[in-house]
Amino acid sequence: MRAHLPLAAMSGMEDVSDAFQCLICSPDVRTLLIMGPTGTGKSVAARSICGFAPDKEVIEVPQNVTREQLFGSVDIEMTIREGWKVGSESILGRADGNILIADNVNLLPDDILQPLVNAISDGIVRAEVGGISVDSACDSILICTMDPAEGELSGHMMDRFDMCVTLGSTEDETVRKQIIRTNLRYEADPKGVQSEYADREAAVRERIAKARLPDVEVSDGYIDLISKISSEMFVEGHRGDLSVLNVACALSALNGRKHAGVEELKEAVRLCLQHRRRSPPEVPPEPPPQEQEPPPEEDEQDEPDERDRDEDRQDNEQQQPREAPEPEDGDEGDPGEEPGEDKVFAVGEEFDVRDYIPPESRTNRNRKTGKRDLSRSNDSSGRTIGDRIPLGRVSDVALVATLRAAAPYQTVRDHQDLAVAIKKDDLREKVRVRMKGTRLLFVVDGSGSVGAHERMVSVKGSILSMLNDAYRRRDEVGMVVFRNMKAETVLPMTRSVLTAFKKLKELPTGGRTPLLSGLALGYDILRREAEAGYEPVMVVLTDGRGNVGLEGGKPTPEETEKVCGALRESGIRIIVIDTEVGLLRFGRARALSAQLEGEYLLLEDLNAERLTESIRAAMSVFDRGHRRASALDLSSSDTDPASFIRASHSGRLS
Amino acid sequence: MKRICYPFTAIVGQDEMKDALVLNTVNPSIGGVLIRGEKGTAKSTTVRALADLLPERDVVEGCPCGCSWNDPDSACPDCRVRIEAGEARRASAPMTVVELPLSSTEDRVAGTLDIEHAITTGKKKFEPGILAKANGNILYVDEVNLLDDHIVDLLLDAAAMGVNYIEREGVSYSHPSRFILVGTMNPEEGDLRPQLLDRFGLMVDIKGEQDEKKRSEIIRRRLAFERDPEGFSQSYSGSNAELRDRIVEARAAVRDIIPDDRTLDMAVKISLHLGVDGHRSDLTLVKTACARASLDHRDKVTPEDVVAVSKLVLPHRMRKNPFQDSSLDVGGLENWMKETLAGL
Repeated sequence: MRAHLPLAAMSGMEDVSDAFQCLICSPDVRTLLIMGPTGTGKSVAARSICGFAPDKEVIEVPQNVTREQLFGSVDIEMTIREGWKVGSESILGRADGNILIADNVNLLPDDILQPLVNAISDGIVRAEVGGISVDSACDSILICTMDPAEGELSGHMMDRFDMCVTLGSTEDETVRKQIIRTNLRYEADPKGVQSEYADREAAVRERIAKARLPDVEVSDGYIDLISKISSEMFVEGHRGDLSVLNVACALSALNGRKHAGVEELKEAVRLCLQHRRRSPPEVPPEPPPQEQEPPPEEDEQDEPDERDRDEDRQDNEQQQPREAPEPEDGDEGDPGEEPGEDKVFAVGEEFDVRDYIPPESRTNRNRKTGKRDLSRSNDSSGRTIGDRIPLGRVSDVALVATLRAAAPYQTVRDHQDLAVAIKKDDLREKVRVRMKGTRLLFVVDGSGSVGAHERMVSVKGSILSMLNDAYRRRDEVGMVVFRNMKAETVLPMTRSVLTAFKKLKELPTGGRTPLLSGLALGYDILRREAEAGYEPVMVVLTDGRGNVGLEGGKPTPEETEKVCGALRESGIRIIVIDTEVGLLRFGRARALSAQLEGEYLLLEDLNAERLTESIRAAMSVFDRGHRRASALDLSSSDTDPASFIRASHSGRLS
Repeated sequence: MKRICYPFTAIVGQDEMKDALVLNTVNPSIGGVLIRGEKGTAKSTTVRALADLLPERDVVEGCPCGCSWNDPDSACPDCRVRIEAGEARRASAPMTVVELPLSSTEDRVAGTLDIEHAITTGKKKFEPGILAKANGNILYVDEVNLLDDHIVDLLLDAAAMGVNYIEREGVSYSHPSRFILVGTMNPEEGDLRPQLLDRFGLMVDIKGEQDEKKRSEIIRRRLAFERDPEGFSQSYSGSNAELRDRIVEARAAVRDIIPDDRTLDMAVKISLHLGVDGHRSDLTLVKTACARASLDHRDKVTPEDVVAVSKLVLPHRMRKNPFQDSSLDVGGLENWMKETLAGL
């Protein structure tokens, strides 16, 4: 048994303990995800499972594991000796009957995590040895940990975990003190602490050994209950239902029951469904305001809740249907534009921003959340993800892959005193990816019109929220502000988001709107980034009511088209965020985004919470259509969910 | 010939940095030091001087992973075989500062298949990387904030578990990797993720010395050292030896310090008051306080120790988001601590 801090010595680990016992006891429960913020004992808890199953080996899946190592490849040494391709030992090969532990799975590349979790939950490992794939059974347990603050897994990945436990830190002082004591004692004398809890671990092992899972009977009503709970909790798909059933059966067996019990079901729901849960679709989202109709005056607060908004709207509609409109043309003195009088507005409230940046290319659409851009790098920097037959001259040789390619021929080649004879055809080169943050440039309208109605407060709040998002994703950010007669670079591209925030706080508002100068300056800055091989993003926050052209006069259509055309051609991704507010909207920002062929968003739409509902509504429509088309139609209404689980369950148990 | 190192005790000022480093040598599980500050503030000199001052370690002779002689249970697989066969011999190795250059690749950091061996013999062998060299030593990462994230993740995983697991290129291996992690960063060049910040045990902010007298003293000593390194070092050998003895004694004594309830109370109250995530801050506060007490030749740790080390343990853990300046409200906190201390 490996040295470990016994689970019983840690506090608040009851769910983890039950989850471990289910994993060991039931062959149908295979995967567990432990989530929690930094310093809550996720990794330590994960490793304590060896106290419950000392006969199983614990295999670490390190962060920098390679694909070949996970799934197996050609064993160089054996192949050279034998003269034919011999498969190498792989992690998954060793995993059969054992326990795999992977930390920070949200930081693992998709092409590692997905096949890993799939292999374990399907119980089949497909090894690729020199072009031949071999399937073998793999009965193992996978425990993963992650800190959701470092990026979340997609709903699809989450669904792949049978169970999920979230750890937190307690506020209870007595418990906290106990945690310190335990840790100090374990550090000073690990064996002593381990032996102290040996009895309790033995008791758990006995409980698992006594559990008679095949004897546990499941009634029809029980299954109906599960599918009812699932649909009430808005769990999508049926994998969750099966997990609940399997975990409930395992818990019942552990408790010595002959029937799947209700208490066990409650616990199984907690372990299996929380992470699959989606919030219920509530009221349908409001349609975007029409351009002709005067939209409701918005509260200056950042996020009034749904009910307030509805009331506001009613009030507005009753009281002020057609009041004196604001000046028709933004070109001639905008409302609230007070030349010469600059104001520095406070920074509005912060919120979680939605994923607002469009992916740079189709191949990246499936990227996981977290860092935005993952690009293949052509030089020898970045992380190696594999190898290939070289496309041209080889500079970045993948030595191991080369050896692997040469290995089978060693018995027949002329060695000339060499241990390994390598020919040109054997050469392989490395494929690398470079994780890089996006280059984000905020082009901010600081003119008087944005100052009206304290709008700048919300604008600053939104920028703060986007900066926070950028910080999490390690993006580089910069900021350009245009106001009065010119645009200026307030902040050149930097990785220090803190500096950006300081600049944002001090940002003054007031004066006319040299929109084109702002765009032109942004273009200059980002073009350099684009030339350096990055795929930059420009976020333009404006109401689009530009009234100063490049030459200081009024902007002409020709000028506008010149700037917009350059931006369209540049490959810079552009997002126009409309800051317009007020009774009468001109829709200039929307027109601008169309001319730039960029994305268009209302400032309010940036708020993730507010937008999730409408996205979800759109997604579910899409999903339904999509799934109908597929052969394995699980979600359409003609398949009764309960009967589906029943069929799968009996198939597994009998 | 070995280059003569500037003596640790001759370094003027930078007391916080020196304290933080020395505390880590007493108990390496405190988790290293992150040094934030400008260039030319003697960061690397101080770290090198510290390594030079520390006593030699007992290691398994010839082990590339620097396996400790006194801890056969955590030795690398090769050493374990040699120890069991009775072939292992004991050797002494000086503490070294292992640097991790910014351009390091994953393979160099974690270790990988020994290509040379594979090509010349056709056989697999593990080639140890920087994490193996760092075992038992000081791992110094200049500008840690500019390092690729995936390299930093590797470092901190090894630092947290004390073991480096390698699963690469057909090599499956693990070896001990316990080191004192010292990172430096200039915050203006970019931030570290909060999750990484939390993994550093202590943090110090340093500035160039402001006091004019001290500044001229720094130059004077530096010139004296450059003129006659041997003689200069000689004149500090007494104070260096004294500090070394203090550290050696404290290392032995700190194991017997058991914090009482009041000390734990203080640590927990501070963390809760500041709303720090997770339990790592509690634990680091107490460990660092114990190290401080043993350096002072005391066999009891007190709440005052916790208060004294809190300025090293907490600043980098305070940030809820990147836009709050991470410096503590020192005045307010001190008052609060005084009140809390009195109430214990």
